[in-house]
Amino acid sequence: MKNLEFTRIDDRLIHGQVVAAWLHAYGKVQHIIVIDDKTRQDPFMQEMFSLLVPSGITIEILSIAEAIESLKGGLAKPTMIIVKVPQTIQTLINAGVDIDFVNIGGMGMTPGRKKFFQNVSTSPEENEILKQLIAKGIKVEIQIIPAQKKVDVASLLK
Amino acid sequence: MVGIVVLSHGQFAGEAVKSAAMLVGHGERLASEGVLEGDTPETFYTRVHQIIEQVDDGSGVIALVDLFGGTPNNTVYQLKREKNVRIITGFNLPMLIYAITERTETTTQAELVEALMRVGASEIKEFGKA
Repeated sequence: MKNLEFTRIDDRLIHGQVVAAWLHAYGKVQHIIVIDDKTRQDPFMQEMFSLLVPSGITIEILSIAEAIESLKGGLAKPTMIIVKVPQTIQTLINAGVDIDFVNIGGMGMTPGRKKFFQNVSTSPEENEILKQLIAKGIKVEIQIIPAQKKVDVASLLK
Repeated sequence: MVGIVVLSHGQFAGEAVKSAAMLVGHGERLASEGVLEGDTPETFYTRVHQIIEQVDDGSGVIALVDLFGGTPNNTVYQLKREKNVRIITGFNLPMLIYAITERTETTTQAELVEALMRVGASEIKEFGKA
């Protein structure tokens, strides 16, 4: 999708690492779209995320349904999309949203998940979703911070 | 007495509290936690919630966090929903020492926030400058 600079899965959504390092690495980004149904319903968390975004960068917090509708119209400026789980990416893609690269930056250990790679944990269902994304030609990489080496998820799922 | 929680990525907060204790002793109503690799927002939130409960006697709490916008900052911010917590980012050892030595039963949360911000900033200087 034109103007989609970076798409990231991170269960913390926006935090220090994203704000500082990734915005620096993708210096063109002017807009962040957080896609998460729960956060969309939570004005307190929306307020917090707005405080975390550096000046000059705008932020929008959308439900999955709103994001599908909005992204159909394309992106007006260089944008970073952040979601919590692979399921959200799959839903967007199945609805016709054009995403060709996904960075995995934070998937902590929760019940049902097992250690996948270093401190990234996944459930069997999430592994299946990642396989399906890769089968569709989407590049999926683990890279927590820009200073780390990228790890190709396709090679880990073989 | 206003409670203090010190929060960081990794062991920094806990070790900073130990370093301060070497110099001025361990403060009252003072606790620390660090977010560790493998923590989720929920597991860390639970621990931060616990230490805030421990240090809060109803006078309010000040959180000293390592980094603006990091997980410790964002986690304790969420506790503002139910707790009287004010957050100062980028803490240093002079601030911790001040909190231990100068905080009394009558120091208010607002006074201490103001003082800690002042101390933290003023203690950063070039030493031995010609």
